[in-house]
Amino acid sequence: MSTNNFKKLEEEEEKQFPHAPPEIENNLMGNMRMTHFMGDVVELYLPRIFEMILSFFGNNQEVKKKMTPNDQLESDSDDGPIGSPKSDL
Amino acid sequence: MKTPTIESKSNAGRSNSKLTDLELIHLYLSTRNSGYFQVLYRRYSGKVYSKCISLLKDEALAQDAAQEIFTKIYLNLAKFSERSKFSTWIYSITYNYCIDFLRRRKKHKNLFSSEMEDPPDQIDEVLDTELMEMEVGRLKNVLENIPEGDKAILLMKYQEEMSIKEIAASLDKTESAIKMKIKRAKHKAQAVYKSIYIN
Repeated sequence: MSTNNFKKLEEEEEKQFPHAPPEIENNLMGNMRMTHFMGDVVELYLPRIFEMILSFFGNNQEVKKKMTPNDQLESDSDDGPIGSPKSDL
Repeated sequence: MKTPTIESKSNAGRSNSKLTDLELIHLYLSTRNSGYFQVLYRRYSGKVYSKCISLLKDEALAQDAAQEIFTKIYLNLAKFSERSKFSTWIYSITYNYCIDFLRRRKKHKNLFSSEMEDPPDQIDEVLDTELMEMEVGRLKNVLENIPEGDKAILLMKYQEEMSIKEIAASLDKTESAIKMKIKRAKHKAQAVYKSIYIN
Protein backbone atom coordinates (compact mmCIF):
# COMPACT_ATOMS: atom_id res chain seq x y z
CA MET A 1 0.00 0.00 0.00
CA SER A 2 1.38 3.43 -0.91
CA THR A 3 2.12 6.00 1.79
CA ASN A 4 -0.28 8.88 2.18
CA ASN A 5 1.20 11.53 4.44
CA PHE A 6 -1.93 13.66 4.06
CA LYS A 7 -3.56 11.11 6.39
CA LYS A 8 -0.67 11.34 8.86
CA LEU A 9 -0.97 15.12 8.78
CA GLU A 10 -4.67 14.80 9.55
CA GLU A 11 -3.92 12.51 12.51
CA GLU A 12 -1.37 15.00 13.85
CA GLU A 13 -3.81 17.89 13.58
CA GLU A 14 -6.54 15.87 15.28
CA LYS A 15 -4.19 15.05 18.15
CA GLN A 16 -3.60 18.77 18.56
CA PHE A 17 -7.36 19.50 18.76
CA PRO A 18 -9.04 16.20 19.70
CA HIS A 19 -12.29 17.81 20.86
CA ALA A 20 -14.29 20.80 19.77
CA PRO A 21 -14.89 23.39 22.53
CA PRO A 22 -17.97 22.51 24.66
CA GLU A 23 -19.55 25.91 23.89
CA ILE A 24 -20.26 24.74 20.33
CA GLU A 25 -22.29 21.78 21.55
CA ASN A 26 -24.14 23.88 24.15
CA ASN A 27 -25.05 26.55 21.59
CA LEU A 28 -26.01 24.00 18.96
CA MET A 29 -28.24 22.01 21.31
CA GLY A 30 -29.80 25.27 22.56
CA ASN A 31 -30.59 26.30 18.98
CA MET A 32 -32.04 22.87 18.24
CA ARG A 33 -34.30 23.01 21.29
CA MET A 34 -35.47 26.50 20.29
CA THR A 35 -36.17 25.34 16.70
CA HIS A 36 -38.14 22.34 18.01
CA PHE A 37 -40.08 24.59 20.36
CA MET A 38 -40.92 27.04 17.58
CA GLY A 39 -41.93 24.12 15.36
CA ASP A 40 -44.21 22.76 18.07
CA VAL A 41 -45.79 26.18 18.62
CA VAL A 42 -46.43 26.62 14.89
CA GLU A 43 -47.79 23.06 14.62
CA LEU A 44 -50.12 23.57 17.57
CA TYR A 45 -51.39 27.11 17.05
CA LEU A 46 -51.17 27.80 13.31
CA PRO A 47 -54.15 25.56 12.38
CA ARG A 48 -56.21 27.27 15.12
CA ILE A 49 -55.30 30.73 13.83
CA PHE A 50 -56.34 29.65 10.30
CA GLU A 51 -59.59 28.24 11.69
CA MET A 52 -60.25 31.50 13.51
CA ILE A 53 -59.57 33.59 10.38
CA LEU A 54 -61.74 31.31 8.25
CA SER A 55 -64.62 31.34 10.73
CA PHE A 56 -64.39 35.12 10.99
CA PHE A 57 -64.68 35.64 7.24
CA GLY A 58 -67.11 32.75 6.91
CA ASN A 59 -69.46 34.34 9.50
CA ASN A 60 -69.30 37.70 7.75
CA GLN A 61 -70.32 36.12 4.45
CA GLU A 62 -73.15 34.21 6.12
CA VAL A 63 -74.55 37.44 7.65
CA LYS A 64 -74.42 39.13 4.24
CA LYS A 65 -76.17 36.15 2.60
CA LYS A 66 -78.95 36.17 5.21
CA MET A 67 -79.69 39.86 4.58
CA THR A 68 -82.32 40.41 1.84
CA PRO A 69 -81.88 43.28 -0.66
CA ASN A 70 -84.66 45.26 1.14
CA ASP A 71 -82.89 44.81 4.50
CA GLN A 72 -79.78 46.11 2.89
CA LEU A 73 -81.60 49.20 1.53
CA GLU A 74 -83.11 49.87 4.93
CA SER A 75 -79.86 49.46 6.71
CA ASP A 76 -78.26 51.81 4.17
CA SER A 77 -80.95 54.45 4.73
CA ASP A 78 -80.54 54.17 8.54
CA ASP A 79 -77.19 55.79 8.18
CA GLY A 80 -78.39 58.32 5.61
CA PRO A 81 -77.02 61.82 5.45
CA ILE A 82 -78.27 64.55 7.82
CA GLY A 83 -81.26 66.32 6.32
CA SER A 84 -82.69 63.24 4.62
CA PRO A 85 -86.44 62.61 5.28
CA LYS A 86 -85.78 59.81 7.73
CA SER A 87 -83.20 61.64 9.76
CA ASP A 88 -85.51 64.67 10.08
CA LEU A 89 -88.09 62.49 11.86
CA MET B 1 -39.17 20.73 30.09
CA LYS B 2 -35.93 18.87 29.57
CA THR B 3 -35.56 17.24 26.15
CA PRO B 4 -35.14 13.47 26.47
CA THR B 5 -31.59 12.45 25.69
CA ILE B 6 -30.35 9.52 23.72
CA GLU B 7 -29.39 7.78 26.96
CA SER B 8 -33.03 7.65 28.03
CA LYS B 9 -34.25 6.10 24.77
CA SER B 10 -31.89 3.36 23.74
CA ASN B 11 -32.48 1.64 20.45
CA ALA B 12 -33.68 -1.86 21.33
CA GLY B 13 -30.89 -2.28 23.84
CA ARG B 14 -28.10 -1.42 21.44
CA SER B 15 -25.50 1.03 22.64
CA ASN B 16 -26.03 4.31 20.83
CA SER B 17 -22.36 4.68 20.09
CA LYS B 18 -22.54 1.42 18.13
CA LEU B 19 -25.30 2.68 15.83
CA THR B 20 -24.14 3.52 12.33
CA ASP B 21 -24.39 7.06 10.97
CA LEU B 22 -27.30 6.09 8.75
CA GLU B 23 -29.20 4.44 11.62
CA LEU B 24 -28.73 7.57 13.73
CA ILE B 25 -29.93 9.80 10.89
CA HIS B 26 -33.05 7.70 10.32
CA LEU B 27 -33.78 7.57 14.06
CA TYR B 28 -33.34 11.32 14.38
CA LEU B 29 -35.55 12.07 11.39
CA SER B 30 -38.30 9.74 12.58
CA THR B 31 -38.28 10.71 16.27
CA ARG B 32 -36.85 14.27 16.24
CA ASN B 33 -34.99 13.29 19.41
CA SER B 34 -32.01 15.64 19.49
CA GLY B 35 -30.02 13.00 21.40
CA TYR B 36 -29.49 11.05 18.18
CA PHE B 37 -28.06 14.13 16.50
CA GLN B 38 -25.89 14.67 19.57
CA VAL B 39 -24.23 11.29 18.98
CA LEU B 40 -23.47 12.28 15.37
CA TYR B 41 -22.16 15.62 16.60
CA ARG B 42 -19.82 13.98 19.11
CA ARG B 43 -18.61 11.57 16.44
CA TYR B 44 -17.57 14.28 13.98
CA SER B 45 -17.17 17.57 15.88
CA GLY B 46 -13.45 17.06 16.65
CA LYS B 47 -12.59 16.38 13.02
CA VAL B 48 -14.71 19.24 11.68
CA TYR B 49 -13.22 21.63 14.23
CA SER B 50 -9.61 20.64 13.45
CA LYS B 51 -10.28 21.02 9.71
CA CYS B 52 -11.73 24.49 10.33
CA ILE B 53 -8.63 25.48 12.31
CA SER B 54 -6.38 24.09 9.59
CA LEU B 55 -8.15 26.14 6.90
CA LEU B 56 -9.07 29.31 8.80
CA LYS B 57 -5.96 29.43 11.04
CA ASP B 58 -7.89 31.00 13.90
CA GLU B 59 -9.50 29.18 16.85
CA ALA B 60 -12.32 31.70 17.40
CA LEU B 61 -13.24 31.69 13.69
CA ALA B 62 -13.04 27.89 13.66
CA GLN B 63 -15.42 27.72 16.63
CA ASP B 64 -18.00 29.92 14.87
CA ALA B 65 -17.50 28.01 11.64
CA ALA B 66 -17.97 24.61 13.31
CA GLN B 67 -21.20 25.79 14.92
CA GLU B 68 -22.52 27.15 11.60
CA ILE B 69 -21.51 23.95 9.81
CA PHE B 70 -23.34 21.71 12.30
CA THR B 71 -26.40 23.97 12.14
CA LYS B 72 -26.35 23.54 8.34
CA ILE B 73 -25.98 19.79 8.76
CA TYR B 74 -28.87 19.65 11.22
CA LEU B 75 -31.15 21.77 9.01
CA ASN B 76 -30.29 19.77 5.86
CA LEU B 77 -30.13 16.29 7.34
CA ALA B 78 -33.34 15.27 5.56
CA LYS B 79 -31.68 16.20 2.23
CA PHE B 80 -28.77 13.79 2.75
CA SER B 81 -29.23 11.49 -0.22
CA GLU B 82 -27.02 8.58 0.96
CA ARG B 83 -25.22 8.55 -2.40
CA SER B 84 -21.94 9.27 -0.60
CA LYS B 85 -20.72 8.42 2.89
CA PHE B 86 -22.10 10.66 5.64
CA SER B 87 -18.54 11.66 6.60
CA THR B 88 -17.85 12.75 3.00
CA TRP B 89 -21.05 14.82 3.03
CA ILE B 90 -20.07 16.50 6.31
CA TYR B 91 -16.53 17.26 5.14
CA SER B 92 -17.72 18.64 1.82
CA ILE B 93 -20.00 21.05 3.76
CA THR B 94 -17.00 21.94 5.94
CA TYR B 95 -14.65 22.68 3.02
CA ASN B 96 -17.36 24.51 1.13
CA TYR B 97 -18.14 26.70 4.15
CA CYS B 98 -14.46 27.51 4.80
CA ILE B 99 -13.70 28.30 1.15
CA ASP B 100 -16.78 30.55 1.02
CA PHE B 101 -15.78 32.27 4.25
CA LEU B 102 -12.22 32.92 3.04
CA ARG B 103 -13.51 34.18 -0.30
CA ARG B 104 -15.89 36.63 1.43
CA ARG B 105 -13.14 37.80 3.77
CA LYS B 106 -10.76 38.41 0.90
CA LYS B 107 -13.50 40.26 -0.97
CA HIS B 108 -13.61 38.11 -4.10
CA LYS B 109 -9.84 37.81 -4.38
CA ASN B 110 -9.10 34.51 -6.10
CA LEU B 111 -8.38 31.74 -3.61
CA PHE B 112 -6.93 29.44 -6.22
CA SER B 113 -3.72 29.65 -8.26
CA SER B 114 -4.23 32.13 -11.06
CA GLU B 115 -5.00 30.71 -14.49
CA MET B 116 -2.71 33.39 -15.95
CA GLU B 117 0.33 31.96 -14.13
CA ASP B 118 0.71 28.94 -16.37
CA PRO B 119 -1.42 28.10 -19.40
CA PRO B 120 -2.96 24.61 -18.95
CA ASP B 121 -0.93 22.96 -21.71
CA GLN B 122 2.35 24.10 -20.16
CA ILE B 123 1.78 22.44 -16.79
CA ASP B 124 3.62 19.17 -16.32
CA GLU B 125 1.69 16.48 -14.50
CA VAL B 126 2.88 16.17 -10.88
CA LEU B 127 2.65 12.60 -9.65
CA ASP B 128 0.30 11.92 -6.73
CA THR B 129 3.07 10.03 -4.96
CA GLU B 130 5.29 13.11 -4.99
CA LEU B 131 2.83 14.88 -2.74
CA MET B 132 1.60 11.90 -0.75
CA GLU B 133 5.10 10.77 0.19
CA MET B 134 6.31 14.23 1.16
CA GLU B 135 7.61 14.25 4.76
CA VAL B 136 4.74 15.31 7.09
CA GLY B 137 6.40 18.48 8.44
CA ARG B 138 7.34 19.60 4.94
CA LEU B 139 3.90 18.78 3.60
CA LYS B 140 2.35 20.91 6.35
CA ASN B 141 4.70 23.77 5.53
CA VAL B 142 4.00 23.53 1.80
CA LEU B 143 0.22 23.55 2.41
CA GLU B 144 0.62 26.66 4.57
CA ASN B 145 2.35 28.44 1.71
CA ILE B 146 -0.04 27.82 -1.18
CA PRO B 147 -3.36 29.67 -1.75
CA GLU B 148 -6.11 28.49 0.66
CA GLY B 149 -8.30 27.25 -2.19
CA ASP B 150 -5.47 25.09 -3.51
CA LYS B 151 -4.87 23.72 -0.03
CA ALA B 152 -8.57 22.92 0.43
CA ILE B 153 -8.82 21.13 -2.90
CA LEU B 154 -5.69 19.05 -2.22
CA LEU B 155 -7.04 18.09 1.22
CA MET B 156 -10.38 17.08 -0.31
CA LYS B 157 -8.60 14.91 -2.88
CA TYR B 158 -5.83 13.31 -0.80
CA GLN B 159 -6.96 13.57 2.82
CA GLU B 160 -10.70 12.92 2.42
CA GLU B 161 -10.13 10.84 -0.71
CA MET B 162 -13.17 12.44 -2.33
CA SER B 163 -13.78 11.64 -5.99
CA ILE B 164 -13.59 14.34 -8.67
CA LYS B 165 -17.37 14.06 -8.98
CA GLU B 166 -17.88 14.61 -5.25
CA ILE B 167 -15.53 17.62 -5.17
CA ALA B 168 -17.25 19.09 -8.23
CA ALA B 169 -20.68 18.68 -6.62
CA SER B 170 -19.44 20.15 -3.36
CA LEU B 171 -17.89 23.25 -4.93
CA ASP B 172 -20.56 23.58 -7.64
CA LYS B 173 -18.02 23.34 -10.48
CA THR B 174 -17.69 21.08 -13.49
CA GLU B 175 -15.53 17.95 -13.23
CA SER B 176 -13.09 19.31 -15.84
CA ALA B 177 -12.73 22.56 -13.86
CA ILE B 178 -11.92 20.56 -10.73
CA LYS B 179 -9.37 18.40 -12.60
CA MET B 180 -7.66 21.59 -13.77
CA LYS B 181 -7.74 23.13 -10.27
CA ILE B 182 -6.16 19.97 -8.81
CA LYS B 183 -3.51 19.97 -11.51
CA ARG B 184 -2.65 23.63 -10.78
CA ALA B 185 -2.70 23.08 -7.01
CA LYS B 186 -0.30 20.13 -7.32
CA HIS B 187 1.96 22.19 -9.53
CA LYS B 188 1.87 25.10 -7.07
CA ALA B 189 2.65 22.76 -4.15
CA GLN B 190 5.60 21.29 -6.03
CA ALA B 191 6.92 24.78 -6.89
CA VAL B 192 6.63 25.91 -3.25
CA TYR B 193 8.38 22.72 -2.09
CA LYS B 194 11.25 23.34 -4.51
CA SER B 195 11.56 27.00 -3.49
CA ILE B 196 11.70 26.14 0.23
CA TYR B 197 13.66 22.88 0.32
CA ILE B 198 15.66 22.61 -2.88
CA ASN B 199 16.73 26.10 -4.00
